[in-house]
Amino acid sequence: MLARMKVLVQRELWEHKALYVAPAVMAGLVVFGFVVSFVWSLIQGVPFEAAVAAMEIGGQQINLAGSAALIGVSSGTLNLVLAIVVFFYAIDALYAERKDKSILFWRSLPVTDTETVLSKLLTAVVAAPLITVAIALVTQVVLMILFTLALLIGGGNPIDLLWKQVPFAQLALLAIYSFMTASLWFAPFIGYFLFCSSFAKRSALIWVFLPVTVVVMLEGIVGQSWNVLRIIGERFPSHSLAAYSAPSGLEFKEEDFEQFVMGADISLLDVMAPIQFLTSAGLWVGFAVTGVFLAGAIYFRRLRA
Amino acid sequence: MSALIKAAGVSKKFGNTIAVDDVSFEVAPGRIIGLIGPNGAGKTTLLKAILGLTSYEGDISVCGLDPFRNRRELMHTVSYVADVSVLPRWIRVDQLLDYVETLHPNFNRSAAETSLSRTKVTLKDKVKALSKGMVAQLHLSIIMAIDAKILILDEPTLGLDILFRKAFYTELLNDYFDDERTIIITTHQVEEIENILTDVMFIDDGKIVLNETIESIGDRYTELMVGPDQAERARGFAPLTERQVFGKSVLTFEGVARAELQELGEVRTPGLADLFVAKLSKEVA
Repeated sequence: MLARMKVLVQRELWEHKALYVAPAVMAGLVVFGFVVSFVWSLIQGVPFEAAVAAMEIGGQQINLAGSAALIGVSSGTLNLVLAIVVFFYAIDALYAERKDKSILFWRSLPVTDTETVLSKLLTAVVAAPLITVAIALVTQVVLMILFTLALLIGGGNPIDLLWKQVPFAQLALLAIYSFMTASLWFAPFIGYFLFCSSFAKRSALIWVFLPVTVVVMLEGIVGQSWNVLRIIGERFPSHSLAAYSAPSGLEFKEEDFEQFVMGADISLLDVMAPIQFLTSAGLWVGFAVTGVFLAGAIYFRRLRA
Repeated sequence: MSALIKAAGVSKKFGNTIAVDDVSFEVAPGRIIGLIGPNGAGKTTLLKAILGLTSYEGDISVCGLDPFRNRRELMHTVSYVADVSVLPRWIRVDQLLDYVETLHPNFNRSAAETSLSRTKVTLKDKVKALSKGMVAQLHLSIIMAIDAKILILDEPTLGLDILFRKAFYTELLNDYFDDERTIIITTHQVEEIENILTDVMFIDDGKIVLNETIESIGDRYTELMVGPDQAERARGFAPLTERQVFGKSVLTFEGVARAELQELGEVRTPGLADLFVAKLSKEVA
């Protein structure tokens, strides 16, 4: 069973290379940007010694700001890339196979429509985020190595100034957690995209936007209300509320840092609230909606074949 | 031996169009059946129903399974080629083999690789880099490496050259076919499969108009070639059709004793293509 699902997900990655190529390219660009600015600083003769001295005086705060920047740059950018590639993946996943007629081949093998559609959901909700988070972590390591080089050039001790300061394992865990919770939270959208992909006869993209736009406008004109838009809109910011215990979520405010620095026993992991997330009504309502869309996608995959 | 496929009162409508109209038949193991009919006769719809790809009225049992409800189990014992140009273009040959190997319990990878080694297709090729004929070879190599009870081929050689078609049917007969297996083939090139078939089914307008073994066709149908002097007498036996060849009349008869016709002229068993024309123009009239 597991081997079957593995090869089905593998198949998706063979076809949709953008799922890992796009985040990898973006990560490469981020690293490249840092390398360029690093080399540029060297050429310009930026006094690394002075910067390191400032860090030694300024202490941990600067370093933590640096580590926050690390998360911000690599995770934040990659999250955006992930959202884009998963969107295009999901609307194409059940549409392209009909367009190129390969569905006739896929369906000649002992694989049910349910297995196929589930594998596509798993690809979008689990595999793609895991790949992206792995790329994000590698990027963070590479950036840390770059900073280490910069510190060495400035005559600082990278162990004290950087590696001891950045709770790398915690950051990694937090990154995985944030990517995965966000994915699960947005699963109903992916379910809807997959449904459109399976249902659409011509353009799946139109089916993604048209019905929603029509319903929202009708409600606005006839009912003078915006409930549909509100429900969709509410889904976006609130994912951090359910998944994290600090209301600010991943926003690192200055006072958080101070508190974090003062009490060394306070862990980054404390902001994660998996139980609160897994027991939140919003998540389960989302799963139920996802299930309805998936059932529709399975039904139409069979009907349209 | 018990039937592999049993169809009883099978119908399929698309709106007001009746694609398959109350069809009943049985298929035994160890047969090669040609399903022959004009475009739009309902061949593909009937095959789709057997393969559980479409809903239908009536009863179909394939290897004891309801094809529409038990599709996944069915695909363990039934393999088919719906079209030889439908392999995904982005996949690599070895990826395709990995995929089928994992998902199909009756797939023999080494058999497929052996079969491919006789072609120009290599494992690292992408499908999109292959010619149309090579894609067909790849597809058929995979399908024939599946140990299935029933193999269904819908126009398996469409658009391929004559050398390939001959080689394919020879391989199908010599390497694949055995007493346990049944093969159903549809094609427009009836002459090419005529000599490998054990049975033939004609379908027209959603109905089966002929369902015979090849041997019984010889018993039942006779083609008679007569000169103009005998033509009128020959017509007295109520032929299915009559056509003119080099000033002689060629008449096709159903259920008329060969001995009687022999007195009038030259008799032989009609070819499938001629029989097909005879049977179907009879229907039209």
